[in-house]
Amino acid sequence: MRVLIVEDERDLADALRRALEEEGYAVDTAQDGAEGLHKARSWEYDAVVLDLMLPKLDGRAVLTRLREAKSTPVLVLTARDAIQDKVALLDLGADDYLTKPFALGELLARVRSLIRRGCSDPRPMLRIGQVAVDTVARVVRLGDQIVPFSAKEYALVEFLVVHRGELVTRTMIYEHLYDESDDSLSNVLDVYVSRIRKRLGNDFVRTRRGEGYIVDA
Amino acid sequence: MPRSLRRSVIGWYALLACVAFAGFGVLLNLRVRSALFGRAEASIEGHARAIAATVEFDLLSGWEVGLGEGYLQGIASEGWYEVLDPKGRMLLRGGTLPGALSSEATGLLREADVREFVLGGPGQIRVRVGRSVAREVREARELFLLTLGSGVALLLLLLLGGWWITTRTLQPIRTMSATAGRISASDLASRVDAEAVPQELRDLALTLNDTFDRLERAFQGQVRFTGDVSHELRTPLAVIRTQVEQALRRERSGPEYRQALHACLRSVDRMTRLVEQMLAFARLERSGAPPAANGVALDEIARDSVEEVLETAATAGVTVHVRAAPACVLGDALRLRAVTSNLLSNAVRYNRPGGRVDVLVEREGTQVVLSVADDGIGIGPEALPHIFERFYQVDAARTSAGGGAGLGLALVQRIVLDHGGTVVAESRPGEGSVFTVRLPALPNAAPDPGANHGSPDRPPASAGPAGPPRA
Repeated sequence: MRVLIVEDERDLADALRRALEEEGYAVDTAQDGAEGLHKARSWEYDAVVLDLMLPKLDGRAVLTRLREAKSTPVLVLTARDAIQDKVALLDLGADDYLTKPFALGELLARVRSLIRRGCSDPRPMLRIGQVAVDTVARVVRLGDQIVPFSAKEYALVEFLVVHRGELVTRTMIYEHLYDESDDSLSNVLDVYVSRIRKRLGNDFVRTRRGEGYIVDA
Repeated sequence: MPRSLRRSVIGWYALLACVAFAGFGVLLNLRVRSALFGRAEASIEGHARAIAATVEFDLLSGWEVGLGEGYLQGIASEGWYEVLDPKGRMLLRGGTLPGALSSEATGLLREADVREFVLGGPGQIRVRVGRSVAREVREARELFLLTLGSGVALLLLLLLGGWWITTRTLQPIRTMSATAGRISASDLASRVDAEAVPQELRDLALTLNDTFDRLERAFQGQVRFTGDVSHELRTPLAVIRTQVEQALRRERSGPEYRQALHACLRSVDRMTRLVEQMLAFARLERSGAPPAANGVALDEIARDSVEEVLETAATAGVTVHVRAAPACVLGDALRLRAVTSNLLSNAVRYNRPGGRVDVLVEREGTQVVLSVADDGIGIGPEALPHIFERFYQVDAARTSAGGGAGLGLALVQRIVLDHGGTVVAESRPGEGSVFTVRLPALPNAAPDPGANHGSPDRPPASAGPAGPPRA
């Protein structure tokens, strides 16, 4: 899952990026509103974390103009806690908001929740046969056993399971699982897929040659 | 009981009306009495003189004393008459005499309801004509009672009318007071309708509205300020919390901890600056106009501030140059020091490595000019008009370069304006900025030695590392 952080406070953006990356998200950052809007419109993000006080283009303007084109879930970070500010934000098209200062755990939970809501299946625990994907604890179980995966591998499993029954193209995977600074080549993806098969069984992921991958529902 | 406007209006108004009416009544009664009694007295005097003249003529000419019977009867029907010859013998008499005449009485004799006119003394012909004035007395009393009655009726009418009039007159004041009460209670947006109040109260209504305007502006300013402060404090708090939580999520390497701690330190610095500037602002707000107005040597203050900033400047690779001619202004040294410090630390902070800051103090006619020029990152034309606003941040570069809290320049402007001066910023992005402060110069005055808060025996050397000699 790929997340965009639009935050001009570099120390805050850095900490958020690292936290989200450790959770297995691909994370892009933008330092101002104009850059943020451009990125949010150019890529298929699964969630956007948007600060309100931004140089060049105010967070509200980013939200308004993003909503003209896309329905990407947006979590707004605001330093104002008046009710009317929050109402105005939700009316502008924000999906959720957090008032600074916030607990990191809460932010991560809200990002997870936003991403789940954007999926066809919003349950936190997804099961396919013996395989269970816990999107809260971010672990995959086979029967009772936790299957060890790296954060990137887990993200791929989760992405495939969320889109089970659909053809997941390589482009989709790149768009959602890799951030813009990641220049891993496509054979890395093959390596991830083969490792997933080794742990969860060969039939778990089917390859459609030249098109992509499918996890059967 | 508090002084009642209504009671004093009605009281004074009734008192004045009573005095006026009493005066009128007294004059009326006196005039009517004098007319009533005057007519009666004139009539008996006339009769007395006519009788005396006729009788004297008859006696002198030796004729029998005689007056027309009808004439004397006319007198007797209203009163009486009596004529005595010089020996005291009665010549004529008619009507009902009230009693014997005392020998010395002469002229007009007044008793309660009797008037008598007597002519002639002892050894002369004596004539007395008199009549009762009971009718006049009655009429005068009736008039007096009528006056008194209408006076009392008028007083009652005045009290009632006064009550009604004051109620009507005070109604707009009551309305205004109700509006004012509502305003102070909750919503600051209500106003007295100045068009609806009488002419005389319009000024009061406008003054009230003006006060409410100022109150509302001050309140909104306070709300905005609190909002801005909370915003400015929340962001560094969010940085600290997120950095710390992120660092604590698992075991980290030394450099990772150090990175998080540095980020926290930057936020703490920022909050510290914000709190300091807020306190400075609050002090200004509380004290209003500068309390200490002494002769202040602006050149020395500028040099002090330069010395303070030299270390930071050296770390940032920025050189500071001073050219300060002796220049005195009237004001508060501590606050003017805040002006120079803020401008200087900005000039250093938003500079580039190898850049320079030029501080200039000089007299220009009746003004003292302080300018602080840097060749740093500059300020964009879209930001320039806003830089003196509280909490205005030029852009991300400024913030992340460890920028100020956004109160410094607002503070500078406030202090300069309080001192009757002006502050202007000019800038070209990428080339640098010049802040120019102009203050009214103090003519030829030596600075108050206690007013500078600086060391009095500072060496007269240039304060900049590569600065030109002091001008």
